[in-house]
Amino acid sequence: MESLFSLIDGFGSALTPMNLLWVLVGCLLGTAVGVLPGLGSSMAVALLLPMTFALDPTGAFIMFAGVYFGGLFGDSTMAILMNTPGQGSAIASTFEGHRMAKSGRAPQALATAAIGAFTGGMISSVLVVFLAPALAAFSTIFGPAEYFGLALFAFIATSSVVSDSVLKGLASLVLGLAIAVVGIDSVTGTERFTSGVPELFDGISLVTVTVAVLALGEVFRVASRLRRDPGAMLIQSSGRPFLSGREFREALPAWLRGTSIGLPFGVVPVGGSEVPTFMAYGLERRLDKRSGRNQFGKGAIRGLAAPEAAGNATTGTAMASLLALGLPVSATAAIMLAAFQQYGLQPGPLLFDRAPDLVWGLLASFFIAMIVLLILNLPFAPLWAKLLLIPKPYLYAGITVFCVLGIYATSNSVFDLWMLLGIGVVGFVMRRFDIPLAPLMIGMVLGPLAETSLRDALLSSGGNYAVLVSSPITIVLYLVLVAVVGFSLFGRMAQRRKERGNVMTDVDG
Amino acid sequence: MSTPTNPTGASGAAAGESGPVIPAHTPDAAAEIPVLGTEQIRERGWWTGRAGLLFPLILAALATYMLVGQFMMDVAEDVDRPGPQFMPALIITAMYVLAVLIALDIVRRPQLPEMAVVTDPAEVGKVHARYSDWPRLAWAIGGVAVFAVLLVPLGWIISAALLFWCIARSMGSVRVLFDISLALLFSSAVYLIFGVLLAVDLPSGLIFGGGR
Repeated sequence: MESLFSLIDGFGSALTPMNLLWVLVGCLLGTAVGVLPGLGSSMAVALLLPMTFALDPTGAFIMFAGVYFGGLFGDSTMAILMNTPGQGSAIASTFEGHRMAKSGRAPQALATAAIGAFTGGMISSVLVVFLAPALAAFSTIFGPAEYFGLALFAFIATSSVVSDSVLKGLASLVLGLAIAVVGIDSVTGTERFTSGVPELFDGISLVTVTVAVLALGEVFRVASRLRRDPGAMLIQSSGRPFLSGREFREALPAWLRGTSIGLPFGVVPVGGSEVPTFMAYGLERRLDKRSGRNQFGKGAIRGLAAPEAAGNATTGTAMASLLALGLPVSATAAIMLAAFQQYGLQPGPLLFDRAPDLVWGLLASFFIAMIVLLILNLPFAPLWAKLLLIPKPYLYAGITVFCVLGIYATSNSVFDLWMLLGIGVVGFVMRRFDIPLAPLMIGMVLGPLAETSLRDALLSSGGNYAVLVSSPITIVLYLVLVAVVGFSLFGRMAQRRKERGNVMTDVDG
Repeated sequence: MSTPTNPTGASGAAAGESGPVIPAHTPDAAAEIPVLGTEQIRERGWWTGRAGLLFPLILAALATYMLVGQFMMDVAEDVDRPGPQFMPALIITAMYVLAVLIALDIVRRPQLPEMAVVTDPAEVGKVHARYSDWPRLAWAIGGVAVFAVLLVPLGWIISAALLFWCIARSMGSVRVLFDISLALLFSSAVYLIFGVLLAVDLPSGLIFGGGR
């Protein structure tokens, strides 16, 4: 009940005309960036992060919520219209969604996605409101050993589950950890790996790394491939996004099933919302086959509804674990954590006591953002496709100028521009050789937490490593971790065996 | 994803192994778009599919930089253990181990990128030197480098316009005059909105007597 009153207060602070304007601007900008090919929601947040610093914290986070959800909407819009998902979480939506668009049902597909995202997001936001304070209370019993376990869990789970090569995932993670140790050590004040460069004393800024890896690296990749692989085809969508009663009834159970799959994944850091979207898609596919309808492959509305709902449900609960535990489970959440730190706020159990206005305002703005988006997306979805009419050269040129603007505006130093270029080139190399980028972001964000909590734990126990597994929570964490890794290894092995089997039959045929 | 041992995805891989040019193999000839073949890359002997060694090299180079830093680190005698070198030691070890493992993996199984499908008749039969389009990439990377050099001396408007033009050029735009006008318009608009309206501190150019 207390949560409800706090939320109403939150609505009170979020519903000022100025903040409503920020939500609207955020939704628009987020969707605008999200619909650009190759640019996902995390890129939207990264690009617009420096601009929010001009606002007061509440306004900035409210705008952020808009950008975040807007970016997610934009991702799936493009996944459906152009078969170019902006983000891993929209990949599952391309399978049936793009087929729907191809068969001339693009507006219905967009409406299905929009309503699915709305359903998933709404239900998870409601849960967050009641769950987050409990999660925060629960997390106060976390000590250094538990935090280290949690960080380790996030590290291993992301790098092993997300990528198709565990080695590459781990390498990306370690790179992130390495970037995070540069600068003055927070415990002892020792200078580390700065080579005496004063700009490095504060460490390498997360904003620089994010923009470099996600945005600039992508620009370089497009430049390196555009002449060879220009294949992007436009699909005209026209008409009103209108779902018939029958279609709505058909999609409804899929929306709900997708939501329930997505919800728990936001709290478990297994690398953002890709996993639940694929699980939801797989479930619908299996159900479809069992019921004998065999709609899949021909543009099944359920095959689009479920992953959309799952993806946004995960996003909502991911926000809960970011706010209550200070644990970012996706690249986007990692960037938001950086934004909190920019304002001198540390997400985690104490945030609810220290800055209740901000937290509840942010939660309230989730609801507002979602409603604004539904209003924006249903009628304007066909219009968004028009953004693609900007020729690629000018589109990416504009993006690059915004990148350097964002970095120079936040740091005011040319050194950071060189840093941006250097890390951007590394980001390009990683894309070129299929090395996942999300583990790097997670490593960089959680690296300091892992280090300080590990050192604190060992310090207080006098160097006894047994302290790391001495509490029930840590034991459970490590057991779940072993289970997750074992499960993904098992799945991968089964997949490989199946692929081998297919190859054999191909050869026979 | 596509390894040479996997016959289903071998259209690109085969080109690398059995000679400089291989007749185009079209996996789905039934598709509506006229598929004229797959992209061809020049054979590079042992290096074919092993360019990925660049990444472990970067990893090892960074690890070496950190190892040197580790020894040069000025740690007070009385710090609490585990000290500031504890975590970096773990990271450096992991970086070396992973660099070696990834390198071994690439040496054992060369990894070719997924080749593009050629739909433009003018592109058929062209054998590219490398998978990445280096001349264009150079325009993009060079553009950012030039921007970083010129920002303070020339100011935001000129250097950002130059950057815009370089990136547009790297994406294949050849209308020089139009691009430069558009670039100047764009950078001026950004300067007005961010530099003037939002009071972001953008340099106006030393040679014009402006400050930083």
